[in-house]
Amino acid sequence: MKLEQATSSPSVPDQPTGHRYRFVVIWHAALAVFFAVAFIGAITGPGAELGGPFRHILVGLSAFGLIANIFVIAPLHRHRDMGRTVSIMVNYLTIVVSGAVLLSRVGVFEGLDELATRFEGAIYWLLVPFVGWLWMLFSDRIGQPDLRRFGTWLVRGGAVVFVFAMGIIDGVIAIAGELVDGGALVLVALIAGAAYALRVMWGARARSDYGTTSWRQEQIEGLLFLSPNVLGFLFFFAGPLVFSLFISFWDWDALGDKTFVGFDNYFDLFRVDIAFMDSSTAPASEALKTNYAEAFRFNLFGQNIMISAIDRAFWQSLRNIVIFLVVAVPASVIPGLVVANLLNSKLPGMKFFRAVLFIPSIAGVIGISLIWRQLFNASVGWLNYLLTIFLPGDYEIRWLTDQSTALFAIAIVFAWMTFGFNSVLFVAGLQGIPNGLYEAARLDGASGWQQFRYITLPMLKPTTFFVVAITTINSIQMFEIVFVLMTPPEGPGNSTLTPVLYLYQQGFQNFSQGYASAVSWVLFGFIFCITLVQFRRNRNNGSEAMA
Amino acid sequence: MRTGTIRGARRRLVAFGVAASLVVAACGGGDDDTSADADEPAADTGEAADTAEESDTGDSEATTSEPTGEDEAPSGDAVPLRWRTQAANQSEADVYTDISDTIDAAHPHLDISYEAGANDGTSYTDLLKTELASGTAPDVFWIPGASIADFATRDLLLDMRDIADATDHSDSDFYEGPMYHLTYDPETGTAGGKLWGLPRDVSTFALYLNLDLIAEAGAEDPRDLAANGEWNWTTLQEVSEDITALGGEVRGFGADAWWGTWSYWINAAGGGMYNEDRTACGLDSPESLEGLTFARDFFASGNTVSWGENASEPFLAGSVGMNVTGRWTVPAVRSLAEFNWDVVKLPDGPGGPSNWLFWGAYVVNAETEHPEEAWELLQALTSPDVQQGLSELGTNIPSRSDQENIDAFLTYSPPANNQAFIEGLTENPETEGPLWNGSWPAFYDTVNSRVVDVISGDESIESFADTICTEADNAAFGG
Repeated sequence: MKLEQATSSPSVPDQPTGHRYRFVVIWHAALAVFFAVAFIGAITGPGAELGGPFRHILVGLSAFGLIANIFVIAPLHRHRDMGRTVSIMVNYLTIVVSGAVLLSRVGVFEGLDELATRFEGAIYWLLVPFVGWLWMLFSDRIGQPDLRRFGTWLVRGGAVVFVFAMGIIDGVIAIAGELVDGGALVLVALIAGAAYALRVMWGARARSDYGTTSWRQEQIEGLLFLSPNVLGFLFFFAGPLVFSLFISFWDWDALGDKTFVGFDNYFDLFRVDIAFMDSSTAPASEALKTNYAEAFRFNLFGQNIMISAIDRAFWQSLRNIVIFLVVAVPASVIPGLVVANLLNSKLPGMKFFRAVLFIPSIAGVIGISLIWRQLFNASVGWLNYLLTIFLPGDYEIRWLTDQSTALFAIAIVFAWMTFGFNSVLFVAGLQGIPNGLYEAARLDGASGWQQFRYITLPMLKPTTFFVVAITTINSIQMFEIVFVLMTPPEGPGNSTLTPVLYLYQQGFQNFSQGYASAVSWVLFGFIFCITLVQFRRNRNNGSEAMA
Repeated sequence: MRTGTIRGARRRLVAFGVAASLVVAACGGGDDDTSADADEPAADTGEAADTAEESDTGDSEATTSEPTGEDEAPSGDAVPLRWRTQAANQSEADVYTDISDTIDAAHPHLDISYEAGANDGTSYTDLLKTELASGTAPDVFWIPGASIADFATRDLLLDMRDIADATDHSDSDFYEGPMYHLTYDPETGTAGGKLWGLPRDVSTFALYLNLDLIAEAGAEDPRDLAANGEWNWTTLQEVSEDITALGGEVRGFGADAWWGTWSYWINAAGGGMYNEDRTACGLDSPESLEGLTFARDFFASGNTVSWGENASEPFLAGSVGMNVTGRWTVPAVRSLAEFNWDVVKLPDGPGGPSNWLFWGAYVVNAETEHPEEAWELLQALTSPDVQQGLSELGTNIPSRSDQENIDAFLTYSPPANNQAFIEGLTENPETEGPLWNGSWPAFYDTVNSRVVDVISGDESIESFADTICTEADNAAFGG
């Protein structure tokens, strides 16, 4: 009955409630003015003093606040449900953002770091409550309630002393001092006003007066429950993503002013030239255009072809990652599949080996890379030593310092780290295959290989797709192993320069954040295309199988 | 039932109160101005003045500037300063921590805290740049000499010329090479007008000798050859060949592959990475190519550790007769080498003696809120006492060039022949220097892999000479 009443036409509010609703309308008008001032400040003088991303964040937030608050006034005034919904969202976001800024302004986030330091010095005071607790236990055991009271006071007193030892006086003084600041007071006023407006709009009376349906109310509550995750995603993932796209059109060193360059960063990446050379040893300068550098030279059908580029290193990184993909993905997936079949058998100790094989996947990349660096050492490394023992000849392969082997060495480490994880995924896939299929095949006289070929592999297709897709993406994003294992990271003749390493070098060593962002978006496109092809192939195979 | 509810509410209230107290306490801790009060005696202005007077006498510290701090900190509050330098390992980081504590105790008006930086140069500067971009970098920090221009021209460093001139600081107290770059004014193109920092230390290459291997091989002692003026590339080849003839894994010569070692061959042949005024690439000059050709042939002779392979570890293991590295390797050799060892200067090339003068400098963050106090800290960090203390560990050579510092350094043995490092500083050293008219990172990115390829034999000298300077000039000097 109540629900019907609530979902019918909006009721006319009584006088006191009407005052509160008018306050909310005025509040949003005031917020609109506030955000308008903030927006103007962000795009003109004061905002210019802010460092790069902070200014853009301020511009975005103030523009959003301005539009949302202007938009909400009319429906609120007309007692429309939409007005109430948007008002709740706007006020909720105002509280969250203002609260976060206020906490930062009064030093809470730095304070949390300091807490650990203080805790180290104050932890001994926790012994007092602990002794008190033991005293209480002892009192209970011997049935002496009077003694127990002493223990209770010890617990309380110790806890208070501990809190004081953590620096509560300093904290109160510091916060009080910071809150007196004008900016902090504005933030407090924003939070207080938004909280009151939120309280007015959230109440059952407002829900009824604005004709909010239960379905709409559930929507609002659902969004609020989702909001911590969504806000985190927007701020820490989607925001930087959009910012990097924006910055890829600028020449920016992350420190000073930006210069708009349009698509030049992208054009510079893709400017290549192809020249036909007289011989394989002909000087490159004969055919190089101004600002171009030789990237590759090869012989195709008797023609000596030289490819040059404005950004040779980028093309070398692309070539390296393609070679790496071709080597590393099969080396990670095929052993994973083979080992998974072994692990899926009923042999004793398989659970133990399953755990052992998983260890490289969860071990620290830095540690693993340093160990492999020793193993790869040409003079005293174990790898050459083992080759010399088990194979004829004396091996001194320069695994990491010869450009023909360096990328292969990286692939070995990557495969070693990845195949255990892949095998666990394959084991999960294998356990989902019905045993009846194998029993039927055995009755039909199928051999072990035929069972693997015609039952296991087709049934594992979804798992295989997932494993190959993930391994491919991880391969293209290769960075940590190269960065730690190789000295310098790009390796001899740039042979281990990967696109991610290259964008890191551009962004953080050469002060070219705009160019590095362009590289990252090209890399994103590369990964997207490869994954899309894999998806298409998987879907087509699935369709054929269904047919 | 009701009692239980009230108890539950009370518990929640107490829990909330404790949690709130912790957050409040945490906030207090974050305030730098008050954090010093809890653990340390309150600094009072009288003590600060006394200490400053003591410093002026030069008894304990070389810090002679009066702390002003007139607008930064109220009377009685210590001015917080953070500083950072690269430490090769934990023991070196501990030494810097001790130095920081000592300076902190001697300057009650400062609240100095040391942050150990990453121990490899690339990660160290990458992190520093990120912190500078986000506004969280320390007040005072160390950077390699080659990075000075990159940082200064982006307005990341504070020019301390005016502050320094108000004290008794003298640029000539330090080696001329580093001070040229540290006082360079990019606008006028001349040195002396600016002061970007003070050098923490200097270093040079030397050839570390495994005396046992040399004696076993019956080779001539490079120290004797150097004393007779016969220590050159020819005798280097002969000694290397003799040592390698011992057989097994033994090699006569080794050098880690990085720009410092490969450019030695170029410089000693009379060439250079740049032209005379460092405004263009010089790698395609006949002298530079002669040096690279020698290096390629030498590393292909079989008498050396393969170019690119780490040579320092096999040297420490006793299987390399001679290894090129800097003063910074002394602590490791002292503690790990189980053979008789010493050092000798690098052999003279066709262009005469050559070496590198490596250096790094303490600089002040342009965004620091306490420039005068930062200068005070910077002076303390480069005082003779601090430099001597660090030099005694073996890692560094003092950056102060007076005879007293050199005499003290010569006593820090082993190695016995510390004079080899001093010769490196005086015999035509090329100062590790930034590119004021170009970009060192871009230059390095362009040339390093190709030089490595040439010495490895993966690229011909002709192909290298054909395009290297066009590419390097385009990348680093804007064409």
